[in-house]
Parts: sequence; C-alpha cells; structure tokens
Amino acid sequence: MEPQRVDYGPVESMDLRPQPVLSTRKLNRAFHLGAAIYAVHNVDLDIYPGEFVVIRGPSGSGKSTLLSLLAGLDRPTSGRVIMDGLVLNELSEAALADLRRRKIGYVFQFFNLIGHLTARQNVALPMAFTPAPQWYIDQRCKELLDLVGLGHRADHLPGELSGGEQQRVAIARALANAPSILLADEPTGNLDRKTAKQIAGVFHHINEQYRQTCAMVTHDPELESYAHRVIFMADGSVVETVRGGRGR
Amino acid sequence: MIRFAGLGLINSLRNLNRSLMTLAAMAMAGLMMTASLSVQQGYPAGEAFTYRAFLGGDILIYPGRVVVEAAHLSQEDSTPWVWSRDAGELTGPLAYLHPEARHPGHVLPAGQSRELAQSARAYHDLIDRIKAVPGVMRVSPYWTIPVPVMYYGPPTDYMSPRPVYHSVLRARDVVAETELARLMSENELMVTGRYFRPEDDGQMVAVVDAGRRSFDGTDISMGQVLQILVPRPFRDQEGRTRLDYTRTVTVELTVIGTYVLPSRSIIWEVETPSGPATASEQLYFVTPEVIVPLGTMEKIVNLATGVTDMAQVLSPAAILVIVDNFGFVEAVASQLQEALPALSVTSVPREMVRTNLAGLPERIVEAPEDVRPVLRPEDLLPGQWGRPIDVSPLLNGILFLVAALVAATNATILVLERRRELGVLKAVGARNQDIMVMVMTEVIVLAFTGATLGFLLVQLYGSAVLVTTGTSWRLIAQLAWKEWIMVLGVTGSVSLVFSLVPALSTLRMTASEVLRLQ
Repeated sequence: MEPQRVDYGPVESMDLRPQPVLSTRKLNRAFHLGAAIYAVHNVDLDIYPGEFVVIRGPSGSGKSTLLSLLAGLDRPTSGRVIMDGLVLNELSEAALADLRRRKIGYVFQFFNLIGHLTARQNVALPMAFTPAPQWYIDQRCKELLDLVGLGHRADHLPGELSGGEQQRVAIARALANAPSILLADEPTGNLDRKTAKQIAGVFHHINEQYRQTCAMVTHDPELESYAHRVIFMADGSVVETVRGGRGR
Repeated sequence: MIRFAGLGLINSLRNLNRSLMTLAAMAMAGLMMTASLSVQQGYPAGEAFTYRAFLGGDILIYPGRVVVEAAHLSQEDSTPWVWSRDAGELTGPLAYLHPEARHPGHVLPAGQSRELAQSARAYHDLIDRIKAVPGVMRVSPYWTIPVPVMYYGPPTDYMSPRPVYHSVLRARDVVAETELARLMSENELMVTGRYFRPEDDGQMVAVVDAGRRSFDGTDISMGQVLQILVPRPFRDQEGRTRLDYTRTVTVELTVIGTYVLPSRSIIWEVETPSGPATASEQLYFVTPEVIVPLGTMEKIVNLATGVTDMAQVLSPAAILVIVDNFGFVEAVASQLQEALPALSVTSVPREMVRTNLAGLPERIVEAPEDVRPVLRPEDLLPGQWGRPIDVSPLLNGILFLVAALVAATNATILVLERRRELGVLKAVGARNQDIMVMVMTEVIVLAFTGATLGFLLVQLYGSAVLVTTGTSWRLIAQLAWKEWIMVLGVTGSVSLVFSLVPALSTLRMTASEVLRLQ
C-alpha cells in the first residue's frame, strides 16, 4: 500500500510553524479481556524536532503502550500515529520495519541486548539491515560507543557489562541509523540512582549536543529537569502537559 | 539476502553453547538415521538362516559363470560367451536351486571349464585364494556324488530290497560345522532319530530328508540300511570329473535320522460358505541327498579310488563361504567375485531371491495355481525369508521416526528460545523475510553440520569394518554418498519445517507482543 501523506493544509497558506516529528490523533489501544480495556485512550500528541519530552504517570497509565505505538512496535486500535508525514498504522509490515529502521530508535527498560553479540555487534545490528558498507558500520559503531563512553568495552559481551553499561550500549544501538526520534521506555527503571543519573546525562547530552529528539517514559521525577516538556498520563489519557526543567 | 544468511551463519558460531547442544541433538538424529539406513540395507543375522545352515555357508561359489546377468554379457570381452550343453550333469545346490539349468545348459566364456578346479592342486589353490579374501572365516566345499541307492526295509526285513532310485551322496563336516546341527536341535526338525554328532565322523551313518516322499515317492525311515552303489570318480585328460558307474563300490549306510527343512508358508484366501477364510501351506526345502559325515565320504571315496584326497578325483559341486560378519556378506561376496572372475559368487539371501524369481525351489502341493509362483521382486526382498513376521522394517521405521522427532524438537526449541531475539530484531527494523532467512540459515547450518557429524560417526565405524573386509574405497564412497544425501535431506527438511512454524507464528505478532511474551 502506498504510504499516505498527511495534508497539513493548503499550499497557498504555507504554515511556517515547526512541523512535529511525531504526532498522534485520537489514538486508542484497547485490549480485549472480556470487555475492551483502553490502555491508551484518545491521545493527541505532537513532538517537535529537538524536543526532549518526558512522559510520566502511575503504573498502568498507558505510558509504555503509548511509546510502543509511537515506535510502531504495536498497532493502534483506532486513531493515527504520524511520523514525518507518514501514517504508521496504514503502513505494511515491511514498510513499518523500514521506518523503524530509518527513523526510530528505541531503548528498552531491560536493555534487550542480544547476549551472544559483543557491544560493538549489538550496536551494528540495526545497520546490518541497511546497505551500509562494513567500513561505515565499523566507524559508526566506534563513534557511538565513544559517545556513550564505552569505546573501551566494545568487544565485551553484554554479560560482562554492568546494567548502566548495557543501557548505554542499548542507547548507542538506538542511535545507530541516526533516527528522527529516540524513544526510551523507563531506561533508568532498572538501574540504581547513580547509574540512572549517568544514563539520564547521556540522553541529555545527545539531546543538547546533537539536537536529537527524545521521548522518554519514566517514573523518576528527577528526569523532569532534563525535559522541555512533561506529559502526565492517567488511565490511558494525557491529563496534563507542563514545562520541564529546560522548557521555555 | 546473502548478508542475512551470513548473519545466521555467524549467529550459530557466536552462540556456541546453544549451537553445540543443537549440534549434538542433530548429530544424534543423523546418527540414528544413518544406523537405520545401514540396517535397512544389510541383512539381519538370521536372514535366510535355514538355507545358509543347510547349504553350509553364507556365500555360494558356483563353477563357471552360471549366474549370468545381462550386464556381464554386454561387457566388451575378447572371449566369446558360448552355450554349454553339459549341464545335465549338474548336482548340488545349482541343480536344486536352478532346476531349469539342468536341461538347457548355460552360457560360459569359451574354453572355460565348468569345473571349480581341474586338479587337486588347482582346488587347494582355489581354497587358499578364497580364504585370503578379507572377511572370509571358513570355507566349506559342497562335496557330492550322484549315486544309485538300493535300500532295504527295516532291520527285521533286511532281505527284501526295494527298487533302485537315484540319490546324491553329500558330505557334511560334522566336526567343524555346527549350523545345521543347531538348526536341527533348536527347531526340532528331526522327524525321527537324531542329527550327526562329531563322533559320527567316519562312521557308516547317514541322515536323509523325511520329506523326499513328496520329491520322488520314496520313503526312508530311521534304522533302515541303505545300500549305495558308489561310482568310481576320476578326472579325464582335461581335468574334468567323471564318474564310472560300471565299476561301483557298494557301501551300506545306516540311517540314524530323518529331517525336514520347513522354509516358509504360503497364505491365501479361500471362499467358504461362511465367508472368506485364509488357508496356508507350509513349504519345505527338499533334496534327494543322503547326507554323510565328511570323514565317511572320504572313506567311501578312498574305497572306490584308493586316494585319500578327494580333490584328486572330484571337484565339489560348489563352495560355501562362511563370513566373519554376516552384515557385510554382500561386500565380501563382491570382493570374492572380483578375486574369482571365472566363477559365480553370490550371497545365499540374494541367491534365494534370484531362485524364487525363476521358480520356487520348494514344492507346492496344496496352494492354488494363482498364488504361485511369487514373481513380484518386492515380495521377495531379503527380510521376508524364514520368519513369519519380519520386524526389522518396523524397528527401522521407529528409529527413523525418533531421529526425525529429535531433529524436529530441536529445531522448534531453537526458534522458541530465541523469540525475544526475534522481537528485538523486529524492533530495530529487520523485515520479517530478513529474519526468516537468518533463522533458516542458522537452522540449516546446524542441522546439516550435526547430521553430518552423526553420519560420520556411524560411517567411520562402518567404513573401518568394510575396509577390513577388503571393500574398495570407491564402493564405500558410493554407499556413503547416497546415505549422506538422504540423512541431510530428511534432517534438513524436518528441521526447516519445524523451525518455520514457530518462526512464522512469532513474526506474525507485533514486536511489542513478542517482547511481552518474554
């Protein structure tokens, strides 16, 4: 199916406001457990280039489900997820995989590194599905591991790395194909406070230095200080949006 | 595509612990499949045992090229093959197993004698050459002399002779050969009296077939004294054995036992007023032989000719070879044929199949015409002889099935264990077909490598044994190649199918669902 381009308005009245990298419109995700239970309910959201958005809310509020929908890892029940003008839920499986590869970086709470691959090989994994030549893959891996401060642990297996180091490898992997947006699902949730702060620092650095758009789901209120915007969710809906520590 | 296949290959190497387990399981599957195939192609130890025991060996060596196939005749040969008309003199198993050969004769290379050996020296040389072939354990010549027999009634009626009939005096080495004695005792095949014991060697005693009444109408029972007119054997100028019946020696043999040799049954369906029912007939392998111990035969020949070495005046009707390992009887037979190109070498099981294709050696009395003879080769495969039910195909089938299940289970586990990895690959942007190529490559590499390892384990042992029996490397390679392809084909296809199913079901889910499963 031909990807559908979203018409943001007539050309003659060109909208000069910044266009969102990622938007949702009336987004719903229901799970059918006897009756339909909405994990995400009528969410309208726009994330703009270079923005650092933190999504907070109590457990079961639908944060992680929303992030999965934003990343194209899950299909919405209704509504739309729009990325760079493409409606994700109307894409074929192959086109969606292509979009995930090129435009989305995803960091999991439990790292999800592949245990039998070294840090370097884990970082190279998303590039293995592109036509990138090997020399480029090698150079990019080195850059990214240096960026997250793990250049010296490139040949270590995940089992030989600490939790924080594993998460940094996961961040490097998510950045491999220079995505339009970096999505992170509680990246510090499985780490001690000190390591969590280091990881938050990595996200901050990437966002600050490279203008990498980031959206992070977290329980940790301290991470609000790194955000431009903080979105609060409850019962699957966005209940409040406030400025973060870096918001203007 | 190649990149993803490469990834699969690298994955299987990198994830060595898991790969080793899968390799071991696949090797086990390959091993069992190879063993199953090898067993299927060989003979069970008891194959055609009745015939082997009666004839006295596992391989038959006939004089001349009497077992001729079209391939032999079509070979470019400078020696023409000509029609031999002296087959009417045939005795021994060739006459029993190839009744048609008695009258029409057969083709032989021109100038070749139908004698196994034309002198005592040639005979002993021949025996030495046979013994030198690897895998040959013992050689047992089939000594026979066609003799007219006059038999007397029971001892109480000693003076009332019956008509003369033709029989064949046959020698058994009752000291060295134990197979027939074992067959007789274990299966209670002696109808009356007993079989020979080693101490009977040299005594004027005989055992005869109790079933020969159906053969030529005569009836012999235990305790009867047979008066045998032994012709004087001699070799003519060309070294051929001749029997002079004008100068016979009369010897008397006491029958110490009569036996029967049941071979198999024919079962057919008959219509009865109460509906269809099955009827059967037990078949017997019957010969006109009067069997005497070898020492007795030597004594008789000595009486008739004055020689102590029978080979000076006689040439055996055939030579039986007992092999070390019956599982490799065909390999030994092919080596013997290579070593003795002027003779016909065939294994007893194969000879039984061939004989049955030409006409049953057993006499059928009751079975209707339409159930005899059995002419379909598939009905005559080795494995269907001498036993009411042959379970080896069933056992082979079970072994093969278990091997396939091992391969299938491992292929399934290999994929199921990696669901999270598949989910991660999806999440980082791998397309389903890329993931499939990767997984399939890994499964195929592991299945093929494992199956080959298992195959090699069995094959190395098998080849070592075959080499000791003198089988050529070319033949071993030919056998191995076919089995290898079959083992790879089955293991590979089973593994592919059983990994494809969980892989497809995993990839049909969204990445989020797959990761949530873990």
